Amino acid sequence: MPGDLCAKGSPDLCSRKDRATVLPITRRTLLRAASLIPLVAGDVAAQPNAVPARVVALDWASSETLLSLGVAPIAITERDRFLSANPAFAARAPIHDLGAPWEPNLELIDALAPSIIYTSSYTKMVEPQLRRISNVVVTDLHGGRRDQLARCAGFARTVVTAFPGLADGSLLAAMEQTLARNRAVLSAPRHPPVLCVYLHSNGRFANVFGLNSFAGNVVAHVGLANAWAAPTNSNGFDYVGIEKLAAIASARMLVLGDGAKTERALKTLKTSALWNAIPAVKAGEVRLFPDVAMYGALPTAVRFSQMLVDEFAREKPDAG
Amino acid sequence: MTVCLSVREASGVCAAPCFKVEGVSCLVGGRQILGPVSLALKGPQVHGLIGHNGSGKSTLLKILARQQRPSHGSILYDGVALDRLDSRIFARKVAYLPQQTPFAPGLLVKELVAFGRYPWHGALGRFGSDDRRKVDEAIEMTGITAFVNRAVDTLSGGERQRCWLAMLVAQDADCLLLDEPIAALDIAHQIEVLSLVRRLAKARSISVVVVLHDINMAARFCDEIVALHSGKLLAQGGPSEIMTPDSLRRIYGIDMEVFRQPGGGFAALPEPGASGQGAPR
Amino acid sequence: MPVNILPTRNDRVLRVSPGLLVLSMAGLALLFSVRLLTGLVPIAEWPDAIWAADGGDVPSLLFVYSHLPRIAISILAGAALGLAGTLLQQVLRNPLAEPTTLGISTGAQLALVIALLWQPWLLDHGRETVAIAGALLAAAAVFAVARSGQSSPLSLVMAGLVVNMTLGAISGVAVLYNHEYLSELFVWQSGRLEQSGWSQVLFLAPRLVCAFIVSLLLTRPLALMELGDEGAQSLGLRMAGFRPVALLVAVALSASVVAAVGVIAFVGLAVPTLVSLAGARRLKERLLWAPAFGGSLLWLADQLVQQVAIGNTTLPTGVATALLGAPLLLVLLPGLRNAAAPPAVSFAAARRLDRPWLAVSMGLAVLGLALLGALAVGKTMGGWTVAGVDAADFVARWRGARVLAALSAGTLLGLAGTMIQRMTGNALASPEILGISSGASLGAIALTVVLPGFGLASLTAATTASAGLSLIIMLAVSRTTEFSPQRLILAGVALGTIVAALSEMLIATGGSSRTFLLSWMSGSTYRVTWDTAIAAACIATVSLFASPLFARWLDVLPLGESSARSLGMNIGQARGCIAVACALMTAGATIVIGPLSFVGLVAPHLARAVGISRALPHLVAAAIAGSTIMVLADWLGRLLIFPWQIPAGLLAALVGGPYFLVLMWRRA
Ligand SMILES: Nc1ncnc2c1ncn2[C@@H]1O[C@H](COP(=O)(O)OP(=O)(O)OP(=O)(O)O)[C@@H](O)[C@H]1O
Ligand SMILES: [Mg+2]
Repeated sequence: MPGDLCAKGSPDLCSRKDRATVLPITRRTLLRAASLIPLVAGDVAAQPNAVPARVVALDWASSETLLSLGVAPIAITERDRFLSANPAFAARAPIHDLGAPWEPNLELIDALAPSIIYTSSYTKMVEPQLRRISNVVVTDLHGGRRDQLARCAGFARTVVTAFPGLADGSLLAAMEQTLARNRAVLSAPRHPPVLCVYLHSNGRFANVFGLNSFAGNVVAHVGLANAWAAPTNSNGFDYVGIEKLAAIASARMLVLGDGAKTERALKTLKTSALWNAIPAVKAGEVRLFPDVAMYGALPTAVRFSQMLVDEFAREKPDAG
Repeated sequence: MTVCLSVREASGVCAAPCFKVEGVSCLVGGRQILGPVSLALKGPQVHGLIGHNGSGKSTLLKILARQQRPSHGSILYDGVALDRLDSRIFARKVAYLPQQTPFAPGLLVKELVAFGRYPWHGALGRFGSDDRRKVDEAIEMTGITAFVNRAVDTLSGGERQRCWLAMLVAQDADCLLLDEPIAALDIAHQIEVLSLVRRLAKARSISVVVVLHDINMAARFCDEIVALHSGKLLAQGGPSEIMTPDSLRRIYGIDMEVFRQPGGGFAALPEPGASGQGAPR
Repeated sequence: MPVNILPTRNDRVLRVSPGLLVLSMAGLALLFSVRLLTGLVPIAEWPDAIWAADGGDVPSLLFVYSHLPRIAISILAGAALGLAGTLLQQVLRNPLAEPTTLGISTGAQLALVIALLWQPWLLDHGRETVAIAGALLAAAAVFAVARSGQSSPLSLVMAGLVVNMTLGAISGVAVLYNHEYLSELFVWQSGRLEQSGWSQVLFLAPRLVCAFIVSLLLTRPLALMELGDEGAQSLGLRMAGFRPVALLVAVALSASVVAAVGVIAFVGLAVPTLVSLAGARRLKERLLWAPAFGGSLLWLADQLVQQVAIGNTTLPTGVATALLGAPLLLVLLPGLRNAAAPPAVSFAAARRLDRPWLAVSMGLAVLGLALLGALAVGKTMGGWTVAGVDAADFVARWRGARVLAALSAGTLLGLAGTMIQRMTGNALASPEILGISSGASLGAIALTVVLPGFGLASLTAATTASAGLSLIIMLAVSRTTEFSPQRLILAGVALGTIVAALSEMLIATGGSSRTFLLSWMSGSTYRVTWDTAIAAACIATVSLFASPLFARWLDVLPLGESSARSLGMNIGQARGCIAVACALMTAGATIVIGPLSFVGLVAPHLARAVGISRALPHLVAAAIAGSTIMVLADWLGRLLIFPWQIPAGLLAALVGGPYFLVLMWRRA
């Protein structure tokens, strides 16, 4: 028991607050509580108006879904990077960092005595250990298929049902509304196909996002055609030399990630004849977009879809 | 040139431990560096192996010690084909000291000497009191008691040579094959080591094959001398047969004068005008 | 001791002249290139395409800005590597010297990684300076460790292995905690020749020309180096001046190649060897033919790679050369077993303990303390905690298996390392030279490709099977030479290179298992369960109790092959048994904590350094040292950057690597 750990150490090493919250909850009571109610999409422990939920999220998709619905996890992985990528959540920032997403700190998770753990298949190998700590929800939002937005929305709905008192259903409704509003707003013949890329800083290679990628799913959702139809890896992206981009005629290139790295790449590319000869570049059809998480969830989808719609709706559609 | 005088010679078996070498040759990279050589070495005797640099002495010794396989020919030890002997059994019979003793970092002299008992106790057997006794005996015999507790690699070249010899003595083999055991020794120690070898041969009634460059030492300490030239057997016989100006010229390619010492020994010196032009290459 | 390990009858090995060789390879490459290019632009329109590229259509753009520079860069990089390899081999009188084996590529790469992650502005101005600085530092470390000219070819290669391992560990940490750069770094490390303009060509070409001119000017003095230092000096040549210049040229040139296109393995090794096998005996001929041959070889390799599409992309050229070149290392150097006795690289202890077992028990006490600390002391959200007996449940659940696994792996690697070092008589040898851990990694890599959503059970099965398979291959390859250490080492190095190349490619393609692969390969105990930990502990216990069986052999083997044989040891049998035992131990350790076996290198040294020299106490002390290192590394890895964790193997390498290099450098 984590409480024992603290009891043994010198008192000032363990914060009183932690002990106070840790001690009343035992895993067994939670498990019992969880087993009483019908499970929604996995084994979500929904226990209306019971002890405040102590939620831990091990992947960014769950983290952003939870936070966007008003459920603040007590701990997430890679906290600092997550917050700098999602400054909007800074106000409700989780207290604890759990370390690397591929090796979340199990001791710390156990000591935090979460009532539920959200994770992805990324931590598949330690799932048995996680299950011994608490209930585990393994999200399956990405993995290459084309219904990723539906899965993200479904997941968000389970969160709302799981935390009736906490999660704000209206926030979910708003997000779903935006998404629905943006569905097929744009259309292929009127708007050029888009090519979502992520430039390597040496300017020689780019990650391109195919139909099965998360970004590709959003692109398809708003009705745009994805200019990269070639097969990709199981996560929907591939890296190619930029000469491969030259073969793609009349597309709009969305360069994701407007950080220093992209700037460096673009600076190098400015003098590259091949880059300048890429149809999209030649036609001035390159747009710098903020980073879109490679494995995002509903909030990212909403944000990205809105960005796409704004981008294309601002201008007059082609004559055709 | 006959050596085996035993009645059992007809069956290819010598009375005392002996090597019988038949048509042995060694090819390296298509070049014949030894042989074909046929000879018999009978014990218990000290055999001196002489010859010019590169004449194949070390190669022959290595083949006898099973360090190297001959390309052709057969070797019998004690009437048994060499490659049919188990390696530990062979090591109890034949001990070999290489021309260059290996570098043994951090090893103590007493440990080195104790390795000589490996053929007897093997990888797993107990190091018993018998082994202990043999090791002490070897240390005493070779006069290295003073540095038994020192690391081998801190000794001088001559001291080290004697330690390795002690290991061979502890090995308690019937036959010692020594490749230039006195190369690093001063004249006093040369005499000491060769006397030891000779004493050992007589006391334990074992046979010794020793490669020597100093023809005078060979003449003095060996019962028999085997001379190689360009990988071929040139001569084999007692010191009196080898220590003649004629055979020395054939062996080393220079003119030498041979003196008879009052004690009955021989001494050979290059003639004052000898230029070494005729030295074999 | 310069050892010529090339076959003595060089000129007869390949019955073609260098000119014919170059012409045939270049001709073939040209054929493929023309085929590729005509697919893009019909041959009749080539002049138009070239002259009007900027205004032209996409195919002619690709023609001029992608395909032509790619051909050019492949020729230039190949030529540069061939020249650098020839210079290095000549100056060091070592047929195994080349940019990758000497740590030059890794050094350049690490410097670039560090610059990219922390000081990216450096790359805008001095990409090459950064690479050269890194390369020089790495090469200096290798030379210092192997004592440059005096050392045997194998010690140099093994020193390179140590330096590569250390630098690789540092890169590993850097990349692991900056994973948004992951694919970028690995794409570049795997040696891709895709071009998007002429800038790389314009970067490399003048440097190659300069290096070529300088080396031609140096031909005479360099040729004299064949006589060895003393020989050359007695002919009135001052080596002190020419050697550094030639080395600098070679290192700078290879670093430029790394800066331009990444790591292209084995070209620098194979080209000089092939050229001299084809009959270019004199240095001047080799300096002329090696670049020509290197250029045409890499050109051909790159064209061949482009013929085979893998999904949407192709095999990285650097991976292809590694796959082809590694076996070459084994095939081309058959003369090695005739070379002199294995290089006796050893660190004689400054002192020798009279009572080694006392030191062993003291080591045991230290290990006990480390265990206690690793189990009891941790961190949690509030800060430090000390777990008492009542927290046994918590400790058993989260720390027990990890600590037990670290303990067992350390024991196994310490034992295996001692055995390998004593068997080969080489203090630079480590269990990984047996290729077992590389083999195990190959299994893990294959698994991530075949079965992306694998679990722990299938991982164990795959690594065990492939470790066993590589053991069988290694034993088969070296059986004819009575498991000669040289053969084992070369085979291990070859296998290791293939694995490195493949894993880099896989990590670059960004499959979902790549972070797993990275963290497994960096020696993390994170995923260890009680089942695997207990299995490893059983193997470790059995090995520990079986080690006395090997003690006598291991006492005698360092005396060298001929002494051991004359003492009646069956060399082949003894080495075979030891190799099998080591392989099993390494496999056991690898399955638990991945292929990073730095402990196997360092632990035997620690035991030696305190003055233990007999085999049995050495084995036991190394096992204790190894397990102490691993337990400490696992513990500190959990504490240092809490709540993040540094993989134990990586941490051990990060600390142990520099320590080891200093130790080797200081040995007298
Ligand atoms: N492994 C080898 N490869 C090629 N040649 C060899 C090899 N071993 C020996 N030789 C050659 O075989 C010949 C005989 O060598 P060996 O060592 O037997 O000579 P030696 O009579 O012992 O000479 P020394 O008096 O100098 O010790 C020499 O010409 C030597 O160069
Ligand atoms: Mg000799």
